[in-house]
Amino acid sequence: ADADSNNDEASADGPPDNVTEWVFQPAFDSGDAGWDNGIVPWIDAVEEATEGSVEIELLSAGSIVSGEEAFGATADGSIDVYAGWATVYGGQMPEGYLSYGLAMGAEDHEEAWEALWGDPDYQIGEIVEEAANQQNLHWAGWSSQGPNSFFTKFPVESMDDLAGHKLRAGGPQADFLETMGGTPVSFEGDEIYTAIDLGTIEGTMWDTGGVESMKFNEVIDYAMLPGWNPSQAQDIFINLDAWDELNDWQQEQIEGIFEDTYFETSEMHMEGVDDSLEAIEDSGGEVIELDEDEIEKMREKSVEEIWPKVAEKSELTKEGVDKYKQFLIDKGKLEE
Amino acid sequence: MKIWGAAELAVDALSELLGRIGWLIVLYVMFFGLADVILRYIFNMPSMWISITVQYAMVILASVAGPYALNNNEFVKLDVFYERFSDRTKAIIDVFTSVLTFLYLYVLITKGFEQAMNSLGRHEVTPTAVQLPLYHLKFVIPICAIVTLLVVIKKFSFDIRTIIVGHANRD
Amino acid sequence: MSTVVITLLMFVVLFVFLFLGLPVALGLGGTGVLFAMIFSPAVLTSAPSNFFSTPWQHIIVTVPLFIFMGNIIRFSGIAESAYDAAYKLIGHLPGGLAAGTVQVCMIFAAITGITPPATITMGQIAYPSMIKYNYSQKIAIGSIASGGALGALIPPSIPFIFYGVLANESIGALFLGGVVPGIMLAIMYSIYIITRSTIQPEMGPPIPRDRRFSVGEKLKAVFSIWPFIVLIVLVLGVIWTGIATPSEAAAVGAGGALLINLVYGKLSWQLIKDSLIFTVNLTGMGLWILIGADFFVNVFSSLGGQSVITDLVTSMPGGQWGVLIMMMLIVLILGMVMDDWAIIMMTTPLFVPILNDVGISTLWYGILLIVNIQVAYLTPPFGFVLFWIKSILPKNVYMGTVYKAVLPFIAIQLIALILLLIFPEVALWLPNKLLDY
Ligand code: NA
Ligand code: NA
Repeated sequence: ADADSNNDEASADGPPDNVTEWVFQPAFDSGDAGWDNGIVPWIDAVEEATEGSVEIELLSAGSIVSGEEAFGATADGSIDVYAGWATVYGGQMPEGYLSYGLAMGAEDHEEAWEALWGDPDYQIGEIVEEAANQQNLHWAGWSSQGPNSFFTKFPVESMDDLAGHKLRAGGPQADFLETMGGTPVSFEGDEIYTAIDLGTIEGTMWDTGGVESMKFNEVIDYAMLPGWNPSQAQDIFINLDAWDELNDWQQEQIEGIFEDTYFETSEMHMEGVDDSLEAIEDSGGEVIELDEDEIEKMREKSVEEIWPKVAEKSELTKEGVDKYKQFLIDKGKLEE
Repeated sequence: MKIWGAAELAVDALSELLGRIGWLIVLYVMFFGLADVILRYIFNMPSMWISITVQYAMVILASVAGPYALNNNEFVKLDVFYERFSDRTKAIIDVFTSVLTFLYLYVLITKGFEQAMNSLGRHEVTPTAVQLPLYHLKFVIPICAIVTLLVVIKKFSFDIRTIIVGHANRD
Repeated sequence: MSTVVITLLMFVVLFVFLFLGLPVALGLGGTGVLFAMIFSPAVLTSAPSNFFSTPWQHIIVTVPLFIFMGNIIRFSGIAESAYDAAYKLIGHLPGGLAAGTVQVCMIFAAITGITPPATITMGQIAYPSMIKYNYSQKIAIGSIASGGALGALIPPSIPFIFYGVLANESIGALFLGGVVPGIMLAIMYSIYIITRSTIQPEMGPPIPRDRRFSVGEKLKAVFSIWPFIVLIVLVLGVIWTGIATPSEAAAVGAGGALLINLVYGKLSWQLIKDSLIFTVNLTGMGLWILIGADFFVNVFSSLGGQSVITDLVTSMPGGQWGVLIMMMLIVLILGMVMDDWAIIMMTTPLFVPILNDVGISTLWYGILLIVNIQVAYLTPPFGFVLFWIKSILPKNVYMGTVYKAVLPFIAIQLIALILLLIFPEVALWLPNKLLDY
């Protein structure tokens, strides 16, 4: 792309003459719900909004680098666009846990939007944006995938039921499970199905929409709502140099679709969540909804014991966690 | 010739050292892999750090075992035609095909250091419950590629001598 | 240059260099770098990056651990006495030891979910014993390789899980669907081995009539097999009872092998040291190939290789059958140059929408794909089972011998594939019966 186009008066009001071509490699492949319900609609929206002046080639995880390394590769410029979760890239940019969703944080994608962007009092999204810039990235897309929860062989009606049970959990899931008295086990995705089936573990923590595609409904008996992270979200980042090469008009157009694609894709994901829950019930399973008292207890314990662990990861993360806490207090969901 | 002999011995010693690090890693992944199962099944206390350190160790093993195996002539070849050639023909072909090897190692070293520096700049750690720093690990890759390059140069010099002398004096 | 020409040229260059004797690992990496430098420099970063991401996969730890386990039992003589015993028991059958090896390999590979462990372990144990009883190299190598390849087909199977997740197909149904074709193949291999050895006794000579063993001797033989059986039961048992995952079972197996040697009084520092040397050498060789292959595929994708594949399938005339046969041919051809993981990851997202369009069951296709994948393990020039086998054989066994040894077994696999194409019920009967699928 032409580096000068940014300052080019003539093209600032519309699409430039040259087409910018980007390579997009997320942390996951087409088997993940984030593919059809997250990044594909986002790409369509970007290409349409920029009137074809940005063309994006979408590649599966592992095409250029592995899913784990794709975030760093985007920061370095080997890839132009990345999508993934803080559970994958949080080792490099812990502020991503703010957009990923805190334990018992926002209750759904609408409330999460309020905390990060909607309400001028909090604007936690700006923190994520700033952190991304420090990583040489531009935060360009966000999508809630609905509840990340427990999918188990035994009923989880309160956190007390977790004691003594081994569940597969990674990263923040493990922190939550341990805090609530359960026993986390670290397995990778492709081991979980067989491990539950053979009784090595008694279930897994996972995003609800992904349960059906991972076929966990075939081996588990219970799902719990609202989950431990009721609005788990995925981010899209663009390499900052690639972003800066766009002209002002293109940048505005892409910024302009952030909110619409967030709500559009989050609602698509919610349909996937419903499908998953239906699949669990169709295969003889049960969906347990916790009552308000229990949810409140979980929230209090999470804010007290888990949130500080997230906050200590960086200065910016701490600022975000504090704002999130104030947000819940102002909502009347948390005691001062 | 003497200096060259000493250089060869140094390359051998270096790859042997990497190989022995590999021995320790094999023992590590065996004992701790076993411990992980016992802790989880018998004591109901699964470890969150064993599996991540095993993955970490496997990256090191892959890096160190390569130059060791190459130096011990353990890299598999499709020797369907190759086995029929004379020593000298083999050496001439080896010199030709080593162009690709040099290209590969050049990229492993240069891009490898670049990635390690980037990782260091980001203070990259694993996103797992137990966080391990990854930037040290990423330096292991280009460093082992350098040792591999030394092994390849050693073999290259054998080939050159074989071409000159007409037969190999050592396998 | 068009994408088709470039991707084709990439394979041509690779094989010219490999057949000129460049080690496989370096040929893969070097060819990848050469083409990336010219056509797609951005992908060069994945060369070092695969040294991180490939060994980072949890299942990779089984490679050194099963090599170590196999080596410990080989050097201790336990395996040899087990095969001596087996010879007394089934040695009167022509090719009996080789047919038995197929079954043991199948059980081992089946349970561990991936193919290399069975090949590596059994290759070290079974090959020297079969040679000792004057079996031909061809039958010995072929039985180990084909038995090991069955690991992908008989549950639990990692390749089925990869496919199931990508194709959104029931993993339980896929597992069940692999059972009958897997057993069918094991029987076909055994029939071939025994028939061939009956016609040509030099392939797998039976015990001469005057040297047959008495019932008492046979009973005694059964007892000397026990450490070997204990080890297999241990590895398989911890997986089946859910105590450990397949990747952890490798550590249990290696630890168990050490313990058995200790009980036998054969554990020495020399034994451990020799096994460590062997293990690190073989792991280095194998992992550098895996890493190089992953990089090669990264470059292939970045050059547009995937669109070449899709175009081939969609341009095929003949409706359902045309599409299906073209897909099978593509997997077969890719199988000559790529590993299982790469083939499944690359073709499944491309093929599943096409399968749905023309109305072919993704369950049936999944089973056909995995049968085809285990052909890929054996087809020259590039097959992981071939590389592993070659590297554990004595140095004077060349790749040409290995290629020749597996050819009849590939023919059997292709017959099975055609049978499954004509009679889908062979694969679909069990999942239909048990899951009302
Ligand atoms: Na299997
Ligand atoms: Na092959």
